[in-house]
Amino acid sequence: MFRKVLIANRGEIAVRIIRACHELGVSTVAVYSEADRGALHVQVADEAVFIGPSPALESYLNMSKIVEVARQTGAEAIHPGYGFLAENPDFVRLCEEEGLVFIGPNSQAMALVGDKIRARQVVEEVGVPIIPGMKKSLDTLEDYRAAAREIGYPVMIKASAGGGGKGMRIVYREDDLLPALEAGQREAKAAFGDESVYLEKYLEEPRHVEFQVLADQEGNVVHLFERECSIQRRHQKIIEETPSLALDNELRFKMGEAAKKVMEIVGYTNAGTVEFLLDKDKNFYFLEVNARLQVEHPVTELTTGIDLVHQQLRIAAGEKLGFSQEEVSQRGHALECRIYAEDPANNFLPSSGRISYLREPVGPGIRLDGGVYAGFEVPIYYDPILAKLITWGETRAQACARMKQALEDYIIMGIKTTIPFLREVVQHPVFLEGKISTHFIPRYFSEWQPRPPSKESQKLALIGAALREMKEGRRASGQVIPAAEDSLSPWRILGPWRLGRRS
Amino acid sequence: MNFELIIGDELIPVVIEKTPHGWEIELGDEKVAVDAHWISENALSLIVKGKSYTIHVVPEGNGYLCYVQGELWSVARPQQDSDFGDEEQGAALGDKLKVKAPMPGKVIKINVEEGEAVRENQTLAVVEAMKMENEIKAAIEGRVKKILVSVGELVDADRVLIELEET
Repeated sequence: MFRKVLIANRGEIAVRIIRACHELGVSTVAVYSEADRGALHVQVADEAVFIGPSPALESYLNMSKIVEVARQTGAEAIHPGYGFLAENPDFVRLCEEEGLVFIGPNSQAMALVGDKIRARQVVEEVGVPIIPGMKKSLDTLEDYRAAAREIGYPVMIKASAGGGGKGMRIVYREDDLLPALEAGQREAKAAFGDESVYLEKYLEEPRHVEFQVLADQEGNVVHLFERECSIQRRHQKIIEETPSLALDNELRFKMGEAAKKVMEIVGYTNAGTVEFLLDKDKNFYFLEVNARLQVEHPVTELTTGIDLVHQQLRIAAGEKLGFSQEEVSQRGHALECRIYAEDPANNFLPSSGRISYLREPVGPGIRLDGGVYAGFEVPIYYDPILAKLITWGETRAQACARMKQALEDYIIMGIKTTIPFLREVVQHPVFLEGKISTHFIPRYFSEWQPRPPSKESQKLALIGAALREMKEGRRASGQVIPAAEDSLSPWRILGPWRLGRRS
Repeated sequence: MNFELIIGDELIPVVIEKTPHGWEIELGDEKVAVDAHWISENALSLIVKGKSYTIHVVPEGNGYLCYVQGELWSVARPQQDSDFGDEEQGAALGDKLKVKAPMPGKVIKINVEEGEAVRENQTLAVVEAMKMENEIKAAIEGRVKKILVSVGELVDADRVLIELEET
């Protein structure tokens, strides 16, 4: 095992990886930008090194700087987390050249799966079905227009270099192709430093089902079952779960074998995910390989009992997988909600600023992977994910009930978050029935607004504020206290004040 | 002790009296006996008619934020000489002509030039925050009077980006 690992990331995932390292006796180096001096990952790491200005391009995406820090601090390996440099083949190559272990796939596999067009060709050749789409990257708008016509509208624009919904656009008509391409390329450039995009057929009503795979350096490959990630907004997953209600054991076996075959053919090593779309008739299509630890990895951990970050570290250190496919099983059901700093009542506008108050839920079957604390200033520069709330239950219904309660017990003040929105999603009858597809959110929640406040909660808020004001004994501005009255009594100095709007 | 509170647009008289087991709080026509216990600096345990509630009351600006039963309420003391009414009335036209950043971010594109006529809902600029692009649209038909920011500039929430004028 390594003695020291550098974590080239921030936020909740950096915190989660640092904890896993410490559990294995590995010491950790955090890196941070100007905006992140106060960030949680800096606090929990053994060492922390400043790497540059706030924009990611000048800090978390600065490859040579990060490698230099690894050398200076004596780190033997770099864990990239997700996003930033996690799927950048140039970075993997740079690490290899510098004698640093990249905790992820080898550079050839990364380059292959990172080139989504080539990856699909390779995968198709071994008999795994793919979605109709472009077979090569294109130069001119005319080429894209012709390709879109051949595939047939609607088409999806996707960033070649990454996932997470960045750069992604659905185009229904040719008129909309040019502006969508431009916007997609700009977003792709900002998120991944690479503006190339490609087109593929957009399936209606699909489910998004992916398989977690682990592959060691000796060629052993196992999958750790599926995750269903159909609950998406703007092509960004917001709730994930496992197992998927859409799969029976036969389909699960078929898809699991296909996932392993994909990873074998691309020569993959370490943890990775094979994404599929499943159509209404239960046909599955290979989508892409996510060559990284994924945001939603905890649902797999809670149902299989396997710590994926530990496995990543072990595989990268050259250890052989400690279990076979037959030895892996799933127990119960797990759900994950992503908590974003976005205002769900205001078109999900990003909400940065200081977290003035934080209370995180606890209890049986509840796991919280967080990256923030009360007093933390959420910067504008990075992904708006604040934390992930994961619940486990013996059944899906129990996991959902726990999630509902945990979301209600989760208080974040000072910035807007998606918690109120998620709370309603996990109570929606169609969600509880499990009849979900990637169209669930657009169909049932596109015009979402917070429910009208209840009279009871208003009354309680009023009582709470009144008692707090009394406790503080604070003098309201401009309040005149008649001299005849006892000025020491809090009642005498409690001025008029108003219970304002619901925030 | 008597005082008044405003809830939304409602003015509610409040009377609080100490009782042997807590407080009696009169809110308008309603009288509530509460057993209140502060369990931390910001968290209040409340028992009302045998029902147990936890209310989180956190100082925020000129008042408090209260979280209870999954709902967040903003509570403010009245400011002297403040006039909420004027603010809201003035919002009508003036605010529509001032195109503001809805959140802090970076201006990555300005789609119009000074003097250009714009339609309602036309995209005037693009502001990026947390890696997502947000299109800033005209709330009203008009003409671009002045562009106050440039591409690449970091802006705070409510910063005026573009001024429009009526045509």
